[in-house]
Amino acid sequence: MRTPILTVENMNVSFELVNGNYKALENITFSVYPNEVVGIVGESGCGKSLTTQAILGILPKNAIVEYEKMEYKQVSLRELRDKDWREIRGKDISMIFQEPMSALNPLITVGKQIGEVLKVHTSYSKDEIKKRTIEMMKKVGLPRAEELYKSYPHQLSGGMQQRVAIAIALIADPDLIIADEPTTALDVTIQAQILALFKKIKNEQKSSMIFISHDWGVIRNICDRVLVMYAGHIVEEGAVSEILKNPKHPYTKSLIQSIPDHRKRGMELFTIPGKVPSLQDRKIGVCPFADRCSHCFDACHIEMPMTKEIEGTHTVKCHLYTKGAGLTS
Amino acid sequence: MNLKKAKSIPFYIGVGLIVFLLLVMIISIFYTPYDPNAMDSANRLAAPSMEHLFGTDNFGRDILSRIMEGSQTAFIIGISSVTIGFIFGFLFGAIAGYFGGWFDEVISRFIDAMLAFPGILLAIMLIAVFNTGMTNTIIALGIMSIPSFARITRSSFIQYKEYDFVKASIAKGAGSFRIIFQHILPNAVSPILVAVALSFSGAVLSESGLSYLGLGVQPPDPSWGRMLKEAQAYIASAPWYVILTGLAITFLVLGFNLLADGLRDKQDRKA
Amino acid sequence: MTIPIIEVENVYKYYKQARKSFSDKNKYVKAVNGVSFSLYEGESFGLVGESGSGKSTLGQVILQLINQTSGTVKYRGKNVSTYTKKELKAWRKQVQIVFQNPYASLNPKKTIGWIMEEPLNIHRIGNKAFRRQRVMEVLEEVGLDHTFMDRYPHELSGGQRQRVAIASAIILEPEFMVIDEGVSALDVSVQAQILNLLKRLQRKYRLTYLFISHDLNVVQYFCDRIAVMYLGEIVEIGETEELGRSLKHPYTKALFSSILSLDESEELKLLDGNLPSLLEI
Ligand SMILES: Nc1ncnc2c1ncn2[C@@H]1O[C@H](COP(=O)(O)OP(=O)(O)OP(=O)(O)O)[C@@H](O)[C@H]1O
Ligand SMILES: Nc1ncnc2c1ncn2[C@@H]1O[C@H](COP(=O)(O)OP(=O)(O)OP(=O)(O)O)[C@@H](O)[C@H]1O
Ligand code: SF4
Ligand SMILES: [Mg+2]
Ligand SMILES: [Mg+2]
Repeated sequence: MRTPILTVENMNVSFELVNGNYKALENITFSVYPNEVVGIVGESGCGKSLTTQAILGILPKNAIVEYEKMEYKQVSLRELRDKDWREIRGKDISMIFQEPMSALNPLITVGKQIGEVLKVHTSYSKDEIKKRTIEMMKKVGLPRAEELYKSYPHQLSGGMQQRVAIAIALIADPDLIIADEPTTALDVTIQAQILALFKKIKNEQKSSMIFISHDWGVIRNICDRVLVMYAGHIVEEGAVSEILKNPKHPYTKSLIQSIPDHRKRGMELFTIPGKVPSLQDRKIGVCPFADRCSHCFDACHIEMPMTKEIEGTHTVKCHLYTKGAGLTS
Repeated sequence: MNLKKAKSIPFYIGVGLIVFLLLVMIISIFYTPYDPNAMDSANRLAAPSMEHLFGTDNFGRDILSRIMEGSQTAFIIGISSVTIGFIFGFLFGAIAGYFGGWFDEVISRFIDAMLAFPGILLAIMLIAVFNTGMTNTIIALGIMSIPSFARITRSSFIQYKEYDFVKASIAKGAGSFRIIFQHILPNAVSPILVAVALSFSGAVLSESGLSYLGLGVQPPDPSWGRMLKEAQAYIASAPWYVILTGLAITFLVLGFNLLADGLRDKQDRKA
Repeated sequence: MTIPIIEVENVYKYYKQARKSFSDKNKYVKAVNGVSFSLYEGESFGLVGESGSGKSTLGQVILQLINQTSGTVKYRGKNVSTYTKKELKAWRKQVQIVFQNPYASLNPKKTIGWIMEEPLNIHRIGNKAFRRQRVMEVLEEVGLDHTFMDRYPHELSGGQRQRVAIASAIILEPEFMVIDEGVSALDVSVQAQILNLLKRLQRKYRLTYLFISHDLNVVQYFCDRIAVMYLGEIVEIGETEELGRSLKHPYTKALFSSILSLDESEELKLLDGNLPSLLEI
């Protein structure tokens, strides 16, 4: 059995809001193995970004975390001190944020911001850092790298900002890359180039990745395994090809069904009725999807489904597979 | 976590110093151990004792009472000159930064020119024009702090007007007034607060300097700077006079500087 | 033929570039380099193209949030740069934009409720109670609810922020909207919900959309006509169906062939091919 590079067991995150505490993540358990890319999918507001923020210890101030285990290479992450974190972030684990502007300092040129990572973690000379920075900028497909080096973030287009954020994350050769929607602002041609770069890094440096995306095309292209999240729970998990071919959870099925494409032009797109309940409206101890599920039956409103192994690494949390007759369609 | 706390300690010391001196100032309005101007020729340059905790000066006046009363002057000058500097500096900086164009050119040149002078020299020149006294000192120090406020405001405005949330509001039809006061100001508050703290300590220091030179606050208004000058003559025979007066100035200046540093740190950490 | 709602005539936008050294000559980034096209009432016009090709710049020039270097933009036949202050404000109520970057387009110091209400306040629409009511309605429409009213932008997920940005644009019931990557941060199901909402609004108010996106699946689904931008120019323009069938420009071909497919059978041709050559022109 391989040892995972990252293990998370029974992690809960809740928020202190004005009128009480509300759970945003419940019993999150998963591992990432060396040289593996794990995808996370799920509707907006399901807790994908929070999961990664919890791992990196950068949750908002009003968040409370509990967990049984959260280990990176056998080191418990939550016990690290600020100083240790600074060593780890950027070099061992790096993060590409969902909104690139949130990670970029508007007052510093992008070249400096990319080079900063090397300045902190290596003893390279100034020239060496600049050289590597420009190389990295080219690798992520930034045009006119020498000129852009001196630009400020607001002078870049959305997709360029995103590539700067990617360059910052990749420049120090991290072992674990956490990428939150890293290609959303990119057009397909550049997306293809970035995905190829990720793959190359995976193959050459044997890095691992957590890859959040809502684009199943991207997920299929780059991920080995995928976690499907709904309202703070992981409801299904398994190899990507397996999940796409043979989704078990009613939620996963609906997600796959609502992918838009040109063949559906003029038709209403399929949507899952209702919406992800806001934190305050979530029910505890029942199937989180019950209110929107067309296969819902009595058990669903009474207890939380257990994790059921379908085969190999494919698991699902749905009463249909433990109490019901399964789902055939 | 620990690191954050450790970093905050100077900040809280700063706040502590300011609050303490503020209390002293408020108390001094209603109560001082002695009449600060009552002379007692039998008791000149007395060392600190139970009757005179800080000793007495060359006229036998109670130093503690005088320092307490002097704090009023320090705060009045600090608050008023910062207010003047802030109002005009903010206005000029905001207009220059937000609208740009020729007005910005003029203001920027003006700021540069004013910042090129050592502040105290500028104040001395202004005093030469306006004459000495409390009000004129306030005006001079107020004018002296305009450029730093203008510069900080201007750069915040230049930075934020590029932000999409400002553009988003313009796109919805918002006028300049709304953009300046509802969108940019709330975001620019922290750098401006830093400037307020810094220019407060600058004003206190400059007032002491001016009064020390005899150019600032004139008798009978009490002033730490003037006390320091008087004390200097007796540095050998009554060292506590110089030390205690100097400490009062230092504490107030230090308090605001630590506050400014702490605010700046907090701001950096958020970014 | 009906008169167009938007006419873009020969629009250029050059940005001065930072000089590498003092002796360098001024260099310009030609973000938009001579673009002309018209939009007709009630249509959805897709603008696709490589990252950095000038789509956002063009969108913002049309709404006069960026001043063009030269060229004119007309709204219902009238040159928008000749508007008086009053006309401009009235126009700003009719046209809206959803910015590409929801994180930056929401004021971090204001609550969602405040942000949503702002357009109504600016144009003095209704009283306090009405405005609150309207804000809740629109929040519901984009799949959020009243619990978001008192939260700050950083307390929302990426997709939730994007929906707030959309909600605050549709709250004024505009005639014309620029949607810059407005659904790109949304997962498929919520995306579908928003696209359906936009279509519904379009039918109801004869809304016209300039829909900027790099997601060809979405554009092909949503738009009647598509223009492809490349290095600041429109290199191809046409009806959606037509364009898909007869691609002429090499960039457009590359673009359409690199759509990631879910079909296992369709292998990803482009990933192995060499794209960067396109970037280094
Ligand atoms: N600081 C906060 N205070 C309160 N609630 C929060 C805070 N941050 C996030 N949330 C809530 O937690 C939930 C999960 O947020 P998260 O950012 O993880 O979503 P996500 O799955 O990444 O969604 P998206 O695809 O839209 O980015 C959301 O409902 C969000 O509103
Ligand atoms: N304020 C500015 N100063 C200088 N250059 C700028 C500025 N804004 C944009 N640019 C440049 O103009 C070009 C076009 O940018 P624009 O944002 O319009 O691209 P885009 O097509 O929207 O790309 P994306 O899909 O990545 O968002 C880019 O090369 C960008 O660097
Ligand atoms: S447990 Fe019940 S409600 Fe939940 S997904 Fe399965 S069938 Fe639907
Ligand atoms: Mg997210
Ligand atoms: Mg753009």
